Amino acid sequence: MIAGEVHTAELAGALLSTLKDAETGQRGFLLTGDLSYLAPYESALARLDRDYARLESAPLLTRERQSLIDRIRVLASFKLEELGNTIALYKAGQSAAALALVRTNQGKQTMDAIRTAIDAFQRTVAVRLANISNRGRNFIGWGVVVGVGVLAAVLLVLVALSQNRARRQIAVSLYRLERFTRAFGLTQGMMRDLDGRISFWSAGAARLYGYRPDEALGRISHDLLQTGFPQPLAEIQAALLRDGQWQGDLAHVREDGSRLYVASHWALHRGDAGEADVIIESNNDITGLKHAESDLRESELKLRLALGASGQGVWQWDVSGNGTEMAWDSRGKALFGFDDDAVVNYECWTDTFPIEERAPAWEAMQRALDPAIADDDYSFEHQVLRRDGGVIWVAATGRALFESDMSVPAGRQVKRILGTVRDVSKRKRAELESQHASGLLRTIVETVPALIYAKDIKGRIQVANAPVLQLIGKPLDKVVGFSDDEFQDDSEQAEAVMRNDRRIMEQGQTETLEETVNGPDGLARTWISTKAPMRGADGDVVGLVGISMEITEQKRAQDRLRLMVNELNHRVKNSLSTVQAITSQTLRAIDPELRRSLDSRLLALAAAHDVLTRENWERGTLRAVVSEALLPFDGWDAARFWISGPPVSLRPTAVLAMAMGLQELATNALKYGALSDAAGRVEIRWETTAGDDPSLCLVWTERNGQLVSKPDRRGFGTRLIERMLAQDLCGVTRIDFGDPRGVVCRIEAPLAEVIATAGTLSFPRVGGL
Amino acid sequence: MLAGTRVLVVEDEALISMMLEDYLLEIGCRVVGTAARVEEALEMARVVSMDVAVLDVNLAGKVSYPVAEILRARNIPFLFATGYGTAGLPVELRGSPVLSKPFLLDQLEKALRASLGL
Repeated sequence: MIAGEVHTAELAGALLSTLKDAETGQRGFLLTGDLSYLAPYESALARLDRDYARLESAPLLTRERQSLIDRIRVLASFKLEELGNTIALYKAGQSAAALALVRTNQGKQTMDAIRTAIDAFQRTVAVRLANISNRGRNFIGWGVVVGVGVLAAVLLVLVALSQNRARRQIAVSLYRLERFTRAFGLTQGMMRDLDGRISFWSAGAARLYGYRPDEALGRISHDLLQTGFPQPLAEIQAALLRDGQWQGDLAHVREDGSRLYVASHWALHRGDAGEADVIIESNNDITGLKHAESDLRESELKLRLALGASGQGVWQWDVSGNGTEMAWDSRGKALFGFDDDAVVNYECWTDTFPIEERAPAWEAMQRALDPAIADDDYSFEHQVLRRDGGVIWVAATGRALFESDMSVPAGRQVKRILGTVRDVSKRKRAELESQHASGLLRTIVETVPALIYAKDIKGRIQVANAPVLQLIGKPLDKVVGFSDDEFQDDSEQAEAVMRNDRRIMEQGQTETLEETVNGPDGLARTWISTKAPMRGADGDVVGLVGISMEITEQKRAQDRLRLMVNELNHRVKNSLSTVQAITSQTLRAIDPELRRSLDSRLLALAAAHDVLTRENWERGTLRAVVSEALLPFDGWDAARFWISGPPVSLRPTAVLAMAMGLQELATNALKYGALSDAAGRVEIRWETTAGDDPSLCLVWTERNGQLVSKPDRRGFGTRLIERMLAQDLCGVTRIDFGDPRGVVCRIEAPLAEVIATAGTLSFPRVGGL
Repeated sequence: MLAGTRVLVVEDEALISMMLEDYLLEIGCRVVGTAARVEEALEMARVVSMDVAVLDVNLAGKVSYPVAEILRARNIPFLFATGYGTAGLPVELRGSPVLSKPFLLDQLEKALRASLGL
């Protein structure tokens, strides 16, 4: 059966050879004019009828084959007519006409048609062979091994035949074998029925899927390979019947269970009557490609996620074309205020830039695109004026992609540029704020009329503003890195400053202090300095920062004021002394008692002045007032005077009133009360009360003295105490002579009326001045 | 006690000088000289025999410190009677006894005793 088919194919080949021989003889004769060249022609004519007869007598002469033989017969008669005509012309001496006829190429066309027809005839053999292998399963009685075995058998038969047949026939067989092998053997191919049953399983398929032919043949291919289809199988079948072929990617599972993807090509073969016969399927493994694709998709997804997380937009500009249209993702478009479906080109993109940014952006882009400049990415930070009126800052980066091209000097051509863009408004605003703040700080440092400086732990200047340089009288580079003892002329002053610095750095405490540093004129200047330790990241003191303001004038004014106050006090006291001298002289012979009482009142007044003078007539402490007032009465004697109370600072009027009052009380006690007796003592205790109306309360209590009898007549002393204290302190004073243990005097005054506050030293505007 | 103590009075203001003399007499002292000007006082400080001196600080605009220096050199005790506090004194005289003006008779008496070591 198989041998018969192969033989049929050979017979067709022999027919073609005969016709070729006829043509070869004609060509030889026409070229040479030598009649001996006509031998193949004549022998071919003689063989032709026999060849036809053999072919038509071959088994399995189907209608298709018969129609092909008829067609070949017609074409061959045309050919032979052409050959006969040309030879006749040549023999008649019309060689030129004969050659012209050859040149019409009609003969060649006829020969080509014959070849095509014979090819078609031989193809029927190949199809038939495939059908044989398929049918082999149904007709076991044939005892033929099918599948790849068919091919082996074909080979064996051919080899056997080749030993017995003409060389020419072998050549024809090998040619067909080659075609057959190429089509079905080495490719990963199979043939199957319309219902999917595998009828041919190539060596390539066995290699690809791991199933041997005997395992695959007769199985439904989609079950065997667990085919995954890209679309319903019914649709594929419909397309196949309609178009005669189908192409698509399929997923298959190998014998070992591993999955693979193939690019599949299905061709539908129709039988002699045009009926759908078999499906020829060839599959190419594209698993690697699929994995690469899926890897790419995955990495693309990852990139997208990363870009999304960082809020980055992606853009791309294909610059190899002429257009300026750019591809932007929706995030990128949103950043610039474009609608998602907007078409964005370079112009409308840069229209969102402030005008002054457009030229630099273009330059940056040109640099990035220039194939002559290597590693020059587009990197540009600019403002975006969005259509909605919003203003943001963005940072865009891009990298140009080049293609190698040796015909240009740079050796490469730019293809496109890919980039990202992200919103950096937050950082930019912080930067601008920080710039603004540092600018502000610089302005402050440079304009404030004070020395501002920083020194390291060794006291060397690290930072100094202009006033510092003016004071030192040297430029910055002669000051930074130097310490006071190096740039100050007066070593004593320098040492004093450095001593302060060291103490502040050692103790880690901020201090405000007065310092003396000569000016460039060599004259002493006084500075009030506030210095703070400067700490490093680990908290250790690494230096100090300081600010010093000159207070030379204020200091001088303060000194003058003090001098004047002192002098005034001195003169007041001298005047009081003079008054005392006058009264003393005047009253000397009259009343010693009166003189003493006058003396002590003058003295109390003078003592109160002393207290006030010590504080520039701004205030006096209650304790100082008490001590001074009691001094003439042995006030230092702790056994006689128990003094206690919190620190209270009194305003001048209160100081004078309190001093005079205490003087009277003490005098009274000396005459009639506790101080007239060695055992007596006086307790002076004061306190302040908090609340809505805070007040000062001082209680004078005499104990262990003589029994006091209430005076019949309120003397000057008592009146002075009650009136002066009540009036000048805006308070209440009560003297109790009734307590048998001793006099008790209670002085109460609103705190607001007696204590010194800043600005207490007020001079009343008298007479409209 | 203080009876017979020879005292030099240096005071530029007459009324105060007079009162001081009265006070001194009252407590039994003898006033061996009074000076109202520095030159006068310096002269007396050098030559007058005395037990103690009472010195006003400001003598018509001049300070009496040189007088004190002479007295100190002669080992004669003295005390300042002044309206300025002790703070007004120069460093070398800072420890000197000071009687703050105005003063009472017994304050004078106490101050004199103190400077005489009595």
